[in-house]
Amino acid sequence: MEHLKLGDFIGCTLYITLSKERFIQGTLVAVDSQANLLLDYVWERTITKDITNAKYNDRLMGLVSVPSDTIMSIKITKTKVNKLVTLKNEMLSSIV
Amino acid sequence: MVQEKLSSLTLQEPKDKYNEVDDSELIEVKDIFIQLANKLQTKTIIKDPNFDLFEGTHSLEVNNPKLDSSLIKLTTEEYKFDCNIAYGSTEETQNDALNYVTAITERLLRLVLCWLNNYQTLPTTILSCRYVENFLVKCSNETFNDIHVLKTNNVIYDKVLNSCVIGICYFAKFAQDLLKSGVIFEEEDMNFNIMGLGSFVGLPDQQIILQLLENGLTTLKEIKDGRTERLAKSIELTKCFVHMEDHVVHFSTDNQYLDEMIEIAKYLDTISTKLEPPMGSFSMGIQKRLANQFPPKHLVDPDNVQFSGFVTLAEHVKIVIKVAKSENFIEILQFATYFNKLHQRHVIARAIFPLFLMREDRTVLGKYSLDGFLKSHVLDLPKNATEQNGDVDTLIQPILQECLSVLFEWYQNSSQNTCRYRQGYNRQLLVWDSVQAQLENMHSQLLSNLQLQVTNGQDNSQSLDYIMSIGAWAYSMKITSMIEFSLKGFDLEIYKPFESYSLFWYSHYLCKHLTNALLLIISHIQKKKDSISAMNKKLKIESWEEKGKLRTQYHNALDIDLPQFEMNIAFLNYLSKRNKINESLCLVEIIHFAILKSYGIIDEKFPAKSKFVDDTLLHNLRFKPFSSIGSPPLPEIEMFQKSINSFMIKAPDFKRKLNELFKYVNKELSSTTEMIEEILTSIQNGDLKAPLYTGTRLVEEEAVEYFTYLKASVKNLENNSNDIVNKLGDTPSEELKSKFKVELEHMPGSSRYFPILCVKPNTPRNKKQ
Amino acid sequence: MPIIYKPLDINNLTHFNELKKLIDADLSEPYSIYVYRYFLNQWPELAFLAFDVTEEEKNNSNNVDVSDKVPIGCIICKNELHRFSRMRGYIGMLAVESHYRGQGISKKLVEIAITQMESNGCDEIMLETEVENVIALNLYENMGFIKMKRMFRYYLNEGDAFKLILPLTEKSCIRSTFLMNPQTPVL
Repeated sequence: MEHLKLGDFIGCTLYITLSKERFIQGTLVAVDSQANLLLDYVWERTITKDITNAKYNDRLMGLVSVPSDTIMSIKITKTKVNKLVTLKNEMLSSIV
Repeated sequence: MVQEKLSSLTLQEPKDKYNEVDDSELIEVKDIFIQLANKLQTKTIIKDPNFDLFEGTHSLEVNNPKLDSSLIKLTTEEYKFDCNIAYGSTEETQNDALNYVTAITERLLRLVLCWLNNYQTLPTTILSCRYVENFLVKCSNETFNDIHVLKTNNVIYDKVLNSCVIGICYFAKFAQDLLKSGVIFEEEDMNFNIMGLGSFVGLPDQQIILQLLENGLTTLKEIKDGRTERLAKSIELTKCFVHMEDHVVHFSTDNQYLDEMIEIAKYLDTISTKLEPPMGSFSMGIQKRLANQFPPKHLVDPDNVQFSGFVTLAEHVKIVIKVAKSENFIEILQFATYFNKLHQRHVIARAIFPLFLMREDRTVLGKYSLDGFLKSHVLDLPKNATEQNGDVDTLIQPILQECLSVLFEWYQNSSQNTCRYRQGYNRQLLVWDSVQAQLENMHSQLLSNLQLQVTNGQDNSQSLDYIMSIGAWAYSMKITSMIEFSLKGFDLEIYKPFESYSLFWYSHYLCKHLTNALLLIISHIQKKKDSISAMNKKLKIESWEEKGKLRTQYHNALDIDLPQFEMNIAFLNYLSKRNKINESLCLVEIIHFAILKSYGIIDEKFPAKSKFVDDTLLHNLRFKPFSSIGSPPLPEIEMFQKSINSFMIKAPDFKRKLNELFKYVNKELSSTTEMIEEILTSIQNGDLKAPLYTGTRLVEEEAVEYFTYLKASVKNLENNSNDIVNKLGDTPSEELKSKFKVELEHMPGSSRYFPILCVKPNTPRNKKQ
Repeated sequence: MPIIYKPLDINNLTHFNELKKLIDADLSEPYSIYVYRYFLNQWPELAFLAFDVTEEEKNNSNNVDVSDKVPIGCIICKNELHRFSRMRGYIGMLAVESHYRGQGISKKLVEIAITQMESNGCDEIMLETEVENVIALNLYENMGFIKMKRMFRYYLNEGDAFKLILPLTEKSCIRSTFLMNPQTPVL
């Protein structure tokens, strides 16, 4: 993972925890030097505490700016990371 | 190898739902991100090179109260609200249930007005209703099959409220169809943020919904309570909504449901008792629950919205469908000219008009072919004119198509909102110019080919004539567009006072050219009329065999062409007169400006000091839309300056010269009044008296108002002459400049194309700017 | 009150945040971080800040270090090729803290920005503003901006807006369609 740069993550789906009750997932579109993220096709899941049967509420939010200080955690699937690492290694080894 | 791997990196995860991934499948990368980000220069943004950061400017933002709808706070009642509870209904009585449902339906109907008449968004109006959300969520499901979505066990909710909600959703679908057909603009004319519920997959047919509403009414009748009448009215009003689409789907000209809507709306406005809907029944909750790509917005308060908004809606639709009664194309043309001109009509009416007029079967009102309709507009062509020469016909087809297309645009433009209306002309004048140029090219080519074809015995004079007729029409349409574009700018308050001189001057110049263009067309028609008489003479001297054929020709010309030509000439007389009115008013404005400049309180030059621009640059930018137009040619800036100097007056004898100028102005204004009166008389007498034909039978009220407004403008201009002298005195002096300024003022009840150059005191606060 | 004007230093995170605060407080339209990233990261030289300084500092303005000072006014712009035919500058945001208003600071910020955009080769400057915003209209119209277009209900369905243009070169006065030369390679 050491060789991975931010640019490699562009286009990946990030699974972000904003709080104990709020999670978003979306495609990484941009990152700035403060690690503020811009995600597209964002789906949000809110854990609800209300009396209705639903335990959570899912919805599409679209294009969302996610400031660094709102993020509890950022996760990516292991599969994706492996693919990225493999690709990176291949590219690095193909450089003469 | 790398390519293969790259392609395998396509996103596997589906994007139509929230994807549940087991935590064991995921790796935490936050620290990596932060570390990597810290290494970046502050000016760097990591992104795909093909991604334009501009898109990011429309993003929402987490934890930003202005941009994060998830932060919306709801009350307990809003959280707990349940559409399947019959609020207000107890075992013993339905007392409050009736009140509640009446309140819900009335609030919902008022919100429809907020949405359409007051241009508010869907989520803050009808979508804020829990029952609407409830139904739309269910009916966007393909498996939806039970239209009785409310299961409260109370018929007032389950049958009555349900029918109203579904009826309004049906109307919303109709509004969506209008938007999809491109006749009005989303966001601008109407918001349609339907929050992912816009498929309407399970929406029942109109008949089923009408039946639901009938059942709702029957249910109410069976309840022995005087208060049901009020609720019944809302249900009947909803029925009228459901019928609105008939005017577009079946091109219905039946006013029944529109009249009912008016009646019910007036009745509902007489009721003063306010009823409150159950708490939580209207809420911002939908903005945080459902798919929402927009920032949070507070709910619109419909309490002060009068039901008379429905009167407006219905009356405007009634106006629009009147065009079906047109008996000739001039009436259609004039209808489009006046129905939306002075007052912008209700968005639903404006959307219905073009769909009602020009139909998918490529007819106009189901009566005329589009092709024939187009040709009618070329006033000096006989009714059934076709191009005889095969070659010319082939060559002219694409140009005719373009003519049809820009004419179609002209009609579409007539129902646009007041701002788009001006923009439409900005585009059109270029297309008319191009069409005119192509026709002129064709004409000169044909002319030069004439020598070669003479040997074939082909008579191309008819073709030349045909091409020229269309060219002359395109030219007059072009100038008309240019005049409309220029003068509409005053209505929209685009021009500063110092610019008003050049815009009025240029408009005046265009009007003069239009006068000539119209006269030319009239003389063409006159020639054609003459040739019909000539046919008669020829008939008398022809041999017997020739006579038969000629006789038929002559009688066709007499019965069909001649009356058409006469009507066209009368219409052109009206157009000329209307144009002359504009010409005169522009002239008076120019003179007022020159007088005010003579007093020293205004100048056509840029009034402030700028390090960036000069007068030439500003002038050229202002006239940019016309810079490419060859005819009439755009005069140089020096021409504008020369002319204002010729109008100005200076000492000695300032007072005498001033009075002479005012006398001239008054003469001009009184002859303008005469012309306006002539037109008004013609309109109000149904055009019975030649020589004018206004074709405003179906828009009589609107046309009368339009010309009455012009009359008021005449009066205001007259008064302004006196006002100028009263405020500024008989002679100019240095101090006037610091004491007075000029503003363009729109007086109520008068034409906004001709604001008054009004002398106002120059207050010290203003001077600071 | 002595005011000095400096271009934004994109590396100064404090200034970036202060600038955001100034604008978020002033304007009713909500802006995400990425709105600022769009403008400031791509056109940092077209963002200018105004600082309240001492007389002495004003006289020595070239050498004053403002990195720790809090800006009291700012302007954010961009410029780019418009319709492949002319260079168009755009004034995105302008804000001055309330108790510094009425002193010509806005005007100065706009002048500085336009001067920079002019030297970048801009043929014209464009901006939109609400029809009701008389103060903005006066500011820009007195500089030579003219209203080109009125847009119906432009701002969040609340009111109409005007599009204003300041012409800087003759190219601004010619329609794009006629400026585009098919032979010229697209930049």
